[in-house]
Amino acid sequence: MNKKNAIQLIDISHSYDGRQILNNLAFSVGYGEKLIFNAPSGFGKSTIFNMIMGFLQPERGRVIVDGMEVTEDTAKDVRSKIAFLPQNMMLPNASVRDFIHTIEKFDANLEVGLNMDVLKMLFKELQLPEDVCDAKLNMLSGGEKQRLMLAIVIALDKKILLLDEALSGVDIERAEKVLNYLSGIKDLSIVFISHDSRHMGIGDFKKLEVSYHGS
Amino acid sequence: MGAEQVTVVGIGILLAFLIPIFVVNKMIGLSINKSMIISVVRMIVQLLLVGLYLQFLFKWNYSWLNVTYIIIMVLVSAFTITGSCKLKRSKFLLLLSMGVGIPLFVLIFILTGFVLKLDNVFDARYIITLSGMLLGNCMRSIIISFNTFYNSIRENEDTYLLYLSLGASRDQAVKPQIINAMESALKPAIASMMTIGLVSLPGMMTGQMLGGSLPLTAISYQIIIMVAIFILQYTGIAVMLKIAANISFDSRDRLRKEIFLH
Repeated sequence: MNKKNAIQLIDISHSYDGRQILNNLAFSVGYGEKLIFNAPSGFGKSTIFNMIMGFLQPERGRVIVDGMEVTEDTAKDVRSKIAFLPQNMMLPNASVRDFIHTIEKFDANLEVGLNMDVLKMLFKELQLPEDVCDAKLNMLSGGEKQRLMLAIVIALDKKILLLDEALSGVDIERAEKVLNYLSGIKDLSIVFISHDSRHMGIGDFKKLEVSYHGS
Repeated sequence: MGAEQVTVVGIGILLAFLIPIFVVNKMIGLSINKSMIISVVRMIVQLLLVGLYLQFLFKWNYSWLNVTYIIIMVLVSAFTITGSCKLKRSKFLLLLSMGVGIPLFVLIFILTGFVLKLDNVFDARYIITLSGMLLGNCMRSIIISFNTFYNSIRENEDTYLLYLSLGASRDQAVKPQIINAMESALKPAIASMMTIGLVSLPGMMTGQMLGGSLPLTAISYQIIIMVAIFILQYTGIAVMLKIAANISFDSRDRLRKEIFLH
């Protein structure tokens, strides 16, 4: 298995209800590499993230994460290395504090846990209210929820971070600070999907190159 | 002192009151007449049959026959649950029968052996009637809990996947849906215990008193029944939801579509 890359997609093809979504797609993300991707609408980014997370089996091709091919047997192990923030989030009706405690107790987080110092620092950087932990999740605005979840996934201290439009509710100055902070974490590999072209080129974030072999 | 016999004429008088309801339904365009007639006819035929064979069961009172009859009741209830929840019988029938049947038998023998202290713990008059009451309530609760659980998983798939994406195991990711399903299924039982005697007089207690039992005897049975119903509902729901959570997802933790009838 290739241990050079944190994530590698090899000639992935996939269709839904007879409609081809991905055709011989290939890309790789090296260890510590931070990539940003301006995915056009209908590109199949959810499909790609679901394959990396082991939720979906590609019809053809292979997905390799940290040297491990993502299969039914390895999906759980693969997920323990990744923190994924999807674009569409339905948060439970709980207080922020209880929600954070719930996430801390998740099986894959028991060893490392949440880095509370990072979390507090990010709450401040992302302009979340000081008493955000006392608030109920359903009382937060859409932007606040997004910033809260971004802080949480970063504080999970995983090797790989998948972010789907995670900074769309954050102004550019704050986004720059967050992306620069993420650039400073050398071992962290990131795939960041963003429609905002201003995010391109901040810190160590480079444009993700995708190729289609033989399509 | 026994209850007054209900005559065929008496039943007929009461059924006659369904005729104006039938006419009103027609007038206002409420299309329930067909299902109303079918349900009333089915209710009468089913109860007549039950009355008939219960008479024989009570008369013979063979332990093996009584237990066999309860097993058949359990299978029918499992059959009804799979049908109501549109689940494939090949996957769920056996598991449901065991998940409901085992706690039912344990509870019935606790009731007959330790609570009522009967000489014959297999006495048809007790185990068949008690099983019927317990099973009927447990079946309704499991149907509510299953429907709530699967609907909740479908409606909140984003939350479920978010939890998995944040490091949750499958059990941890479905926990909110399981809690939601248990709450929905147990709320009616809790509400009924809350209001019993104030808003409603339960059928069994009323029947016992009409049959000549003292109110205090009828009440003590009702208390036992209410607690037993709640215990079986809780156990049945918890066991079945745990089983459902284990068999309803594939190894990639996605809800299996093939467990449902199309």
